[in-house]
Amino acid sequence: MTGEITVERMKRAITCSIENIFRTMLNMEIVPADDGRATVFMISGIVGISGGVNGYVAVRSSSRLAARIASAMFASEYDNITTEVKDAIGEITNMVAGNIKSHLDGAGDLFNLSPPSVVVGNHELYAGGRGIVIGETFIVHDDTLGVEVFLQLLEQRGEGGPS
Amino acid sequence: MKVLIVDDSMAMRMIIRRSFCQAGFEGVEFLEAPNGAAALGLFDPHAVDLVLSDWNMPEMDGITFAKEVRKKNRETAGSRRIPIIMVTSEGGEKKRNELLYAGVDGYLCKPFTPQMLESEVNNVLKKTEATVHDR
Repeated sequence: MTGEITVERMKRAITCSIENIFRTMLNMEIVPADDGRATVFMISGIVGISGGVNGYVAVRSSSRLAARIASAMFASEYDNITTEVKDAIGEITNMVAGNIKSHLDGAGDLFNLSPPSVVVGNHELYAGGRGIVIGETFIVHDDTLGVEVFLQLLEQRGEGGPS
Repeated sequence: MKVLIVDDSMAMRMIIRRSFCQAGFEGVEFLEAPNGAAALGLFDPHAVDLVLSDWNMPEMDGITFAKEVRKKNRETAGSRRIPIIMVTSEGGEKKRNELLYAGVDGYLCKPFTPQMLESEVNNVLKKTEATVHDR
């Protein structure tokens, strides 16, 4: 298993990481969404992946949920996207990416993580090059949180790829 | 107790400060730096009792900062060995060993509760024979 990143393994890592972070640090209940709901995300935290595997980890939410996350994190009230809210989303993304890496055991050693960036406003994420996007959505207080991991197919780099 | 918090994330610096308060630590003064290089400028072994540092930071990361602090300890006769706790989102045995080799005394994995922070701070300070606070 070490060194191999499968879709199922990544999905488990995403779910374990996000649940751990929301319950431990934010004291917010979070459950996997099972209704395939389409959501417009207005803020995304992004951490780059580089090294043996290239790609990114993104945590995406509505403005309202991002403000709620920051309110829980800092024990202050936020109702719109402020600098603190952006920082909160960046830090959540940083934690999710690090926890995913740890959950992958030895396979996580394949890649390094960048500091987080945060995108605000109407946007979509587009990953250049051929690869696989592994996404999971979660429900937090009737809001939707999205986590997606893009991994570039290693065959594009002349090697075998994630399965 | 004077605590130096080294982290490029304003959010994490706030979380650490809040966690100290929620854990019941009283009379704690905080110094903050956004990276290892800035922290070295603030660091004074006679004026800091504990360091909590992030690992991945621009300019100077946590491991390099820890090594520089230990170097200062060795070069300054009579200087106290200030305990350092690394705060990181990446766990694992390999990472822990890397920290120990750099002279780091403790390890706090994100996400953490105030109770987890309290436990690690107390463990580290006991190891370095310092007093935290009486409960």
